[in-house]
Amino acid sequence: MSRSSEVGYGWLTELLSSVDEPPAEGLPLKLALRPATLGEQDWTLLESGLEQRARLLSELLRDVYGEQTSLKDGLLPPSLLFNNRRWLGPCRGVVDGDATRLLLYAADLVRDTDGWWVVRDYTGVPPGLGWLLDARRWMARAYHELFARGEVEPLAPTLVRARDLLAELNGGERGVVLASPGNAAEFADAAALAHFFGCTLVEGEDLTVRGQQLWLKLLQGLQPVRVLLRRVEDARCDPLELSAGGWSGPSGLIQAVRNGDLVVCNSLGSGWAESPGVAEQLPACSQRLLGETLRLPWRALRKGETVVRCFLAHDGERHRLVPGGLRWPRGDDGMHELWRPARATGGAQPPGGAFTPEAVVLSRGGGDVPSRVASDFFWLGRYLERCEGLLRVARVLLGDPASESRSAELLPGGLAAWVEGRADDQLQTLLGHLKRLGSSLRERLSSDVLSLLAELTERPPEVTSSYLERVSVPVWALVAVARESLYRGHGFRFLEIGRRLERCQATLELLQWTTEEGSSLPLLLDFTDSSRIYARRYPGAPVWLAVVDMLLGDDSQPRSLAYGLRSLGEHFAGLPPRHELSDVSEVAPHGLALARCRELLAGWQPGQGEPPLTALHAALVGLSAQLARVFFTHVAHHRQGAAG
Amino acid sequence: MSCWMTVRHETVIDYSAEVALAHSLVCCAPRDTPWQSCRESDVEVDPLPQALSRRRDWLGNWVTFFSQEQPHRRLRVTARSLVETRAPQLPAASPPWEAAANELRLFPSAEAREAGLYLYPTDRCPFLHELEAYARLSFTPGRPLWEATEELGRRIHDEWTYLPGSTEVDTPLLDVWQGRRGVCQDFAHLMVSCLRCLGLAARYVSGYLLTTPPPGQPRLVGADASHAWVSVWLPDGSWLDYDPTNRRPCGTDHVTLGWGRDYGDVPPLRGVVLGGGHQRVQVAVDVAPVQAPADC
Repeated sequence: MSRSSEVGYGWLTELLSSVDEPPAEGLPLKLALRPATLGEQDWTLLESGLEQRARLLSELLRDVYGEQTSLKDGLLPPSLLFNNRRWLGPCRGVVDGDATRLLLYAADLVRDTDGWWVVRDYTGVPPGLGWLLDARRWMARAYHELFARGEVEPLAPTLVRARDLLAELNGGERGVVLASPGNAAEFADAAALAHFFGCTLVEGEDLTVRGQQLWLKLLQGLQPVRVLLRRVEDARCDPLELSAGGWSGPSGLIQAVRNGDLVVCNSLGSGWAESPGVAEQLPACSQRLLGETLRLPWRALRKGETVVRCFLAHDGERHRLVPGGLRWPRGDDGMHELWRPARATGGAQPPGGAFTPEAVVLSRGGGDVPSRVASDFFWLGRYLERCEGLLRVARVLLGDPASESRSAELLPGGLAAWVEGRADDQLQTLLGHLKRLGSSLRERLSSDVLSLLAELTERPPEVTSSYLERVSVPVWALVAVARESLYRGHGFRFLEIGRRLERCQATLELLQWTTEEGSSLPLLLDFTDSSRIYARRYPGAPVWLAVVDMLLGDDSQPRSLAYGLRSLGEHFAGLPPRHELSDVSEVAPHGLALARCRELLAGWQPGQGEPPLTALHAALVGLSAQLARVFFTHVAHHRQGAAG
Repeated sequence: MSCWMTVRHETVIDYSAEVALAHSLVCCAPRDTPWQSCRESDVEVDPLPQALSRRRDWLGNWVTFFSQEQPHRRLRVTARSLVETRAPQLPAASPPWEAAANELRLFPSAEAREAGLYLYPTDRCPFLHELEAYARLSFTPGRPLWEATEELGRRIHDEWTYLPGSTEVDTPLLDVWQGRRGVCQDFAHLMVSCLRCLGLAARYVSGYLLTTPPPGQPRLVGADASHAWVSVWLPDGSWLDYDPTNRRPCGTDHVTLGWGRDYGDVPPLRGVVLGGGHQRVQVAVDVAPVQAPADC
C-alpha cells in the first residue's frame, strides 16, 4: 500500500487544523495522508484483548456503583474509591444498562518486544472517535480505489449497531442528543460523532429538567429527551448533585436518570474506571470477576513511544472493536489513520468507503431551532444595533465634519449623562459579545459573517475617528450580511426582533434624556440618524413637537417607535404559536406585552400632553422578558401555586 | 430510657429577583440508627412543587427532591417529624486507638473497608499537619480510643470560641484553625479532620438538639438551629457520637438527621435556581419533648 501522493495534503491539513486549541488528550492536529496498518495477527490480538478489557471495566463499574463486592472482598483498595474524585458517590445506586454503561470505550496502546500494552483507558468520554470517522472520510476519498475494491475493513458496521441501539432506547423516535461542552477543541470530534449517530448536538443550556424528565428547549416548546450521549465530564453534568461546575448542565439530570426516563451513556460516574490505579488492579479483577487471565496488561507510557488508539462500541450484546484507529508516532510527523485490511475480500464498498449514502430527504423551512440558538440570534441583533448606535454617537461627538465643534462636555445636561452611561469601554464589551455570539452561531452564519467578525479589532487606548471608521465598516457590513445571507427562518426573525427592540428602547432613552430646549434637538436627530429626513420635511431649526412625532408616531420612519412596533408585530406573527403558556387569553404573553406597548403609543396624540416615554420603556423591557420566558427559558406565565 | 420529640425545621428563602425554575434537595427526615427511630415525618413545600420524590440517598439519608417551575420570589420548606431517641451505650473500656487505625490501614474486614468512606480528606475536611500534631496530644500511644476522642472534643470546645456569624458555610478549615472561633459545623469539621489525620474514620453528623431542656438542666448551645457533631468508628464496627460544641457525648437530646463525609454531603437544603438575584435565608428549628405515643 505504497501510494505516495501529495494530492489534497494541503487542504486536508488545514481542514483538520482549523481548531483553535489542541484537542483533548493531546491528539496531534495534523493527519498524515499515509495511513498506518497492522497485520491481522495484531488485530486479532487487540480485538480479543480489548473486548475482554471493556467487558471487565463495565463489570467493575457496575459493582463499584452497586453492590461493591469488589470492595468488601478486598479486591479493590478502599482508597481507589473513597480517596478518588472520579468515583462519584451520588451515582451509587443509579441503575444503568449493561450496554449503555460503557457504550463507547477507547484505549491507548503501545507495542514493545514483549508485545502489546495498554497505557491508558478512556471510559468516561472517550475522545477521538469523531476524529477517526472524519479522517476515514477523507482517506476514503484519497484512496478511493483501495476502498472501492474493498481492501480496507470499513468502520461503520460496528458502530451502526450502537447507533441502532440508541435509537431503540429512544423508542425508535428522534431525540437522541449528544451533549457537548461547547469548546472549540471538542467541537470537531463531537460534531462528527453526532453526525454519525444521528444525534442533535446540544450544549448545557439547551437542556432542562422539568418534572423529573429531561427536555430539549426548542422554539416550538419542550421536546422530551430519553437518550443522552455525553461528551461532558460526568462530575460537571448535574450542578444539584455533583458539585463541580464549569458546564451549565441541567440541574436534576441524575434525578431524571433515577426516575427511569433518561439513559445517559456512558453512565454518569463511568470516568472512574480510567482513573490512576484502577488499571493496576485489573489482572486480579479479571481472575476474580471473569475467571479469565487478563490478556492486555497495563504499563506506564514511556517517552517517545508510538501510541495507537483503538475504539470499542457496545452493540447490545457485547463490546466490539472498531476496525480502525489512530496512531501517532515518535517525532512530529502527524497522526496516522490506522487501517485493518479486509478479512474477506470481494464485496466492494460503495465509494466514500464506510458510509452508505442515504437518500436525501428534501427539507425546507428550517426545522427545529434550539432556544439557545434563538436567544443567541436575538442578542446578536440587539448588540449589533447597540453597537451601531454607539458608533454613530461616538462619531458625531468626535467631530464629524458636519458637527465639528461638538464634544461631550458641551452637550446639554441630560444628553451628556446619557453618553457617559454608554462610555467607550462599552464598545469593547459589545465587540466582545458580538464575537462570542458569532462563534457560538458559527454553524448557522455564513462564512462572510465570520470573517467580518474577525475584523472587529481591539480598541486603541485613545479612541480616534480613524479607529471609529475602521470598526464601523465591518459593523455595517455585519448588519447587511447577517440580514441578507440568513436563512429566512426563526433565527432571522429573532435577529430582527432583537434589532427592533433595541432600537425602540434606544430611541425612547434618547427622548427621555433630551430636554425640549432647542440646542439638544439637532444632536438627537444626529444620534438617531434622522437629521436629513427631518430637514426634508421641516424647514428651519428642529422643533420639539415635530421631532417627537417623527421618532414616536410616524410609522413611515424606520427609526420610529411606531415603525418598530409594527415590525415586531409582523415578526411575532411568524413565530411558533405558544398559546398554552397563557392562562388568560388565546394570545401568548409576548403578544400581550406588544399589545400593551401599542396601546400606550396609540393613547398619545402629538400636542396633547407629555408622551408616555417611561411607561413605554418599561413595557418594552417587559416585552423582552416575556419573549425570553416563552421562547428561551420556557417558564410558564404566572401560574402560582398555593399562596406564599 | 427513651425520649420522644417532635422536630420542626422551617427554611424560608426570599429572593430579590424572580426565580423562574428551581430544583432542590432537602434532608427531610431523621434516619434510623441503633439509638433512634423516626416514627412519622413529612415535608411541606411552598410554592407547590411540580415534582416531588422521596428516597434514601447514597449515604442512607432521607432526602426529597422537588422542582418548582413557576416564577416565585419566596421558597418555604417545612419538615416535621416525630422521633424517639434512646441513650447510646457508651463503652466502659474501648480498645487502644491504634487498633482502629490498624484496621483502617490493613483492612482485614469488610466493615473496615466500608468505613474507608470516612477515612480520607475532603474539601471541607482537609489534612493539615497542624491538626495531626494537635490531635496527637490527646491520642498518646496505647490510649483507649473513646477516652482520647472525648479529650480531643473537650480541648476543641475549650480552645475555640463558639461565635455565631463568625464563619460562613464555606469558610476554609485553616481559617477556623487560625481564627480559633466558629460555629458547630466548624467544630465538627475540625474534629473530623483531626481524627482522620490519625488514620481514624470519622463522620460529620447533621442533626438537632432538644430546644427546651428538661427542668433543671441548661439549654444546650445551638438548640434553635441545625446542629452538627462527630461520629467516630470503633474496631467492633460501631460508631460513637461526640458533640464538641457542647463538650459531651451525644445523648437522648440529640436527634440525628443524617451523616456524610462533611457538610457538603448533608446540607439540610440545597438547590439550583434560575434567576433569583440575592437571597435571604431564614431558618427556624423547634425540637419539643412529647409524650410517648399510646402504642409504645
